[in-house]
Amino acid sequence: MKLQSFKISIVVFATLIMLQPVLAAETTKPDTVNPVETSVNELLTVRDDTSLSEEDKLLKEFELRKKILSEVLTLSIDEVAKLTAKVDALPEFAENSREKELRDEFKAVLETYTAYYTEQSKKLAELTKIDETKSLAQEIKDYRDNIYNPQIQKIVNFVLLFYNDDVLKIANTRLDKISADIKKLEKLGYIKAGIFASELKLAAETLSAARALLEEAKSAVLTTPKPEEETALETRATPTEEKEAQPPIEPNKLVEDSLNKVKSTYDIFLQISKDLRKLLGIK
Amino acid sequence: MKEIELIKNLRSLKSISPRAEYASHSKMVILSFQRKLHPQWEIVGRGVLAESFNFGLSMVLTAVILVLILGGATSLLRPIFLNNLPGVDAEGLITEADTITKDIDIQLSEAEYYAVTAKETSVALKETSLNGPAHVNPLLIQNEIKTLDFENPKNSNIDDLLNKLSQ
Repeated sequence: MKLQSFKISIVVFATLIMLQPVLAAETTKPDTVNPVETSVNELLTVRDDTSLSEEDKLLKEFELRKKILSEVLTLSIDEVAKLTAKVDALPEFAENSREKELRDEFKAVLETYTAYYTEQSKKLAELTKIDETKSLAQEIKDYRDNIYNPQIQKIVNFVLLFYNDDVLKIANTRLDKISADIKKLEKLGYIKAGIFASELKLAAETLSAARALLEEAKSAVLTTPKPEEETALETRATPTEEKEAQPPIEPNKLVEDSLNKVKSTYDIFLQISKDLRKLLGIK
Repeated sequence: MKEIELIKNLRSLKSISPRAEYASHSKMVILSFQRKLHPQWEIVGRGVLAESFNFGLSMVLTAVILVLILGGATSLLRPIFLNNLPGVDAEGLITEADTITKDIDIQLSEAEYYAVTAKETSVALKETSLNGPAHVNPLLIQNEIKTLDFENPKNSNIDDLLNKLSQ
């Protein structure tokens, strides 16, 4: 029994240690002042400025448009690098598993993004006319809106699934430990039997709900999408149901709800600990 | 009696031996005889001190058994149990809760960050690719509204200063 508890403690400690670099070190914290936003405001101000000559205005506009594009490309390359590091930090997946298939797919896709943005940076350096900056901006915008952004969201959701899984495991281990301690104290007569039953039940239920949300998100992220033809046939077969059906909840929203449930479970744990120590007269 | 005769008689005595039964009985008596230490050592070894120790030990053991029987085990072992509760250990739990909560917040804000950046970058690229009317740009107007915010503490500070100066 003691050996088992010791093993669990080692596993939890090791998981927390392993999670640290994945979770904390590679985090992308939003800057307090977004340089792109500042440059856009500068561009708007220059264009609005009536005191400048037309020639000066065009020259400044050209420089600012190039600056914005350069900042967008740098930001994008940085974003891809950070996301690649996160995908690399994921655990090893079984051969032929859907997880491994997706991870390999995402890694390949991220490499193409780096190549694309690097290529656009080279193009940008060679631009000499204001219209060229405008068309390059349009090209990058289309690429990001149609290809890059939707895929990035998928990768973020994929990474979050495994984080959520790890956090849930830690929380469940903590619940087991707390339950074991309370049982021990009840047996020895230090506390009344069942005094923490409702809190423990609530914690277990909250973690179960968090698990259910994660499983739903997993199924949404990991399920292989159906070919368009099959989807079209299904739509024709059940037209009324399709109209009434609610749109599926986004996986990132499901993971967010699941993680928030884990957070609230820790509030319950802290309350149990506080009440228990009060009952036992421990400061 | 001459000396030679005497020796002869004595030699004849050599053949005298006890009965087997008597010999066995005597042997048992000798072996079962309790050996005694030198009186000087007797006091230390099996004497007063040993007896006192045995008595003391018996009393302590009796007291411990009595305490345990009368339900004092829980009281005696209470501090040991209470200091060994890994599940509800306040320090460990607070650290774990803090780490997990912070990590979750970081992860969630990061996930949100990608979406926010996507939106902001899209706006920036739109502004860079377009050549619309410069003076009626909605972003420009919004920025101007911000500078005209009457709730801005800088503005109220100026008002306060002016009030003081006019007094």
